[in-house]
Amino acid sequence: MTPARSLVWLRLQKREVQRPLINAAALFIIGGVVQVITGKFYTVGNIENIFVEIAVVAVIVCAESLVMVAGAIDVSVSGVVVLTGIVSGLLAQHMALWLAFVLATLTGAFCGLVTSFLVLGVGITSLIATIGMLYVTEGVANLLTNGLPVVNLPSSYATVGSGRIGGVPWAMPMVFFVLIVFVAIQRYTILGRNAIAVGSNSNGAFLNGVNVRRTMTLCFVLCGTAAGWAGIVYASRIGNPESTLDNDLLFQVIVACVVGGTSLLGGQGTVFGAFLGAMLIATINNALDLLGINLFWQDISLGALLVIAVGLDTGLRNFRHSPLWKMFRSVRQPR
Amino acid sequence: MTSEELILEVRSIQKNFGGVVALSNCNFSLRPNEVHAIVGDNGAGKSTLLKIIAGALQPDGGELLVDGQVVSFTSPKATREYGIATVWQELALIDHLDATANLFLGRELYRPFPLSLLGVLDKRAMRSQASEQIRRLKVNVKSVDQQLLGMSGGQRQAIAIARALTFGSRMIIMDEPTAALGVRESAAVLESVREVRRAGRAVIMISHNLQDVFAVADRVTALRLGRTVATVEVAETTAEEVVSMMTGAYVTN
Ligand SMILES: Nc1ncnc2c1ncn2[C@@H]1O[C@H](COP(=O)(O)OP(=O)(O)OP(=O)(O)O)[C@@H](O)[C@H]1O
Ligand SMILES: [Mg+2]
Repeated sequence: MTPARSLVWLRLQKREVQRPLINAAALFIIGGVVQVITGKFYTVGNIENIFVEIAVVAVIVCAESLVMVAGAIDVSVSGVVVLTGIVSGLLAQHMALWLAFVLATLTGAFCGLVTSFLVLGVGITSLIATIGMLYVTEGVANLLTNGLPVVNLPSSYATVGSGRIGGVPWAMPMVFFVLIVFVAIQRYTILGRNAIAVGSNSNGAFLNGVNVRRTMTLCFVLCGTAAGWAGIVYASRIGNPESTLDNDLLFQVIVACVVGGTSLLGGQGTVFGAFLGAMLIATINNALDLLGINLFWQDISLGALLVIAVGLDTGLRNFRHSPLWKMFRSVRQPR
Repeated sequence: MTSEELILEVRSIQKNFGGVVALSNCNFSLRPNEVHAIVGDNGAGKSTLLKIIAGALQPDGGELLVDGQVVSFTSPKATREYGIATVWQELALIDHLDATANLFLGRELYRPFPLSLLGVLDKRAMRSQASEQIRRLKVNVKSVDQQLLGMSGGQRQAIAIARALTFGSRMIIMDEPTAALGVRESAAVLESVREVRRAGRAVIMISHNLQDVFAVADRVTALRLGRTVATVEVAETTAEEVVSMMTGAYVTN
């Protein structure tokens, strides 16, 4: 076997590579089928639609996958989305829009900082700590508004969610920008590498001089920041921020990560894979829409997608250990 | 030998875990350019002593001196500037990273300024240095790009040892480096210990295997129930005497 070929083979054996490939294939196949039936899938308008629909989830997924790779989970994101949406709306009544957005995003970052204190300082597991944060953030949002929508906003407030820039929806370049930033963080920086090390073997990472606390703190703060920004996009799309919790959002984020190849046990997963997971969810929902299938099927498909993706993974692994696969390998690589 | 000539000195170190006394009144010294073996029964406190020297645990009493200066290692990272590297008993490898990343874990190379500020890794430099190191140390892996997940116990141990040999510029600490290895691999490890000493570095090696100890060590210290029983020159002792040190039958003459 030539070195080049064996390198490709090594890469293909990684789940981080398999899953995105399968997801990308699924995306195009579903799109193709719907295109043949309705003729409406591969149109500029529809593709734009998919991005607008998934923008909020896609932004959060980029950071959530990093947290999950580090062996933790942040389920407070939908609470943070509600809170920063409200904060951005309330601030936008009194100050320049950009400043309101910056402060609201920082509010999300602060939530991440509080989470990291609860997890690292107090020692609560991330799931429990962030369930706490989920309800606290929603409660604070309700306190700020008395449970009423924020009104009297400048008309420019809606731009981020539903405006257009350079002939495409604002959401499109925004999502790509966030994606590129997070892919770069994961692939090229020490934070991405340390997140894998901590998620895979946190004691081993510590013994080798990795700063486990700093790594986890940065992951939580990045996740809070992304959720904070996503909250603005979310509220801006509705037009008037409301303090109702959207738990669908949370589950879509987690399904996207898992379908995209992120392991709940930590150490495994990529930002890009999780992003493709989000795109797959959006594509399936969009396809059901175009085919005129009852909306309730969207929930069923989300559930089915999760089970199929995880089942496929486990099944493949079991298949690898089966005699059939070993026979195939021994034929392919004579020793 | 005076304190100034010792590269490392442990003075009456104490360590408790809750009610368990793991170490009490431990004394140990390391000369530059020697291989110093630590022996003792299971639970004698060998790994605990080593973890204190390597910064993973903090002692409850006593002093640690490097080059005659009192130091306090608050984390394994703190030992780095002293050129100390460790092969941990549990190896401390990251299964989901490749051999290169494991070799450089915690000591990554960065791209030049300003990218270094953002923590951007110099992957190419690390990969080529790792390949060279792995070839030099004859680590039997197919490629430095291979994840550790599917590797054998021996391959993993070899990578952990290669890591310590690469970065322990003055002192290499090994906790049972040959435990998971076959005869040939063990011999290779012992050979690299000799080579390290020839290169002027010092080695602390925990081992259960007296044959290995007599093959490479200059001095041997026995631990029993959390205390250092005695330190003897290997050239002036016998296996029987070392065993008697470990079991408590030893009497100082
Ligand atoms: N983290 C810990 N918490 C509680 N007790 C501990 C801890 N680490 C070690 N001990 C105890 O301290 C004592 C010494 O343990 P240590 O691991 O140093 O022994 P060892 O000599 O390395 O043994 P082995 O040959 O089995 O590796 C044991 O009684 C052990 O139970
Ligand atoms: Mg031990």
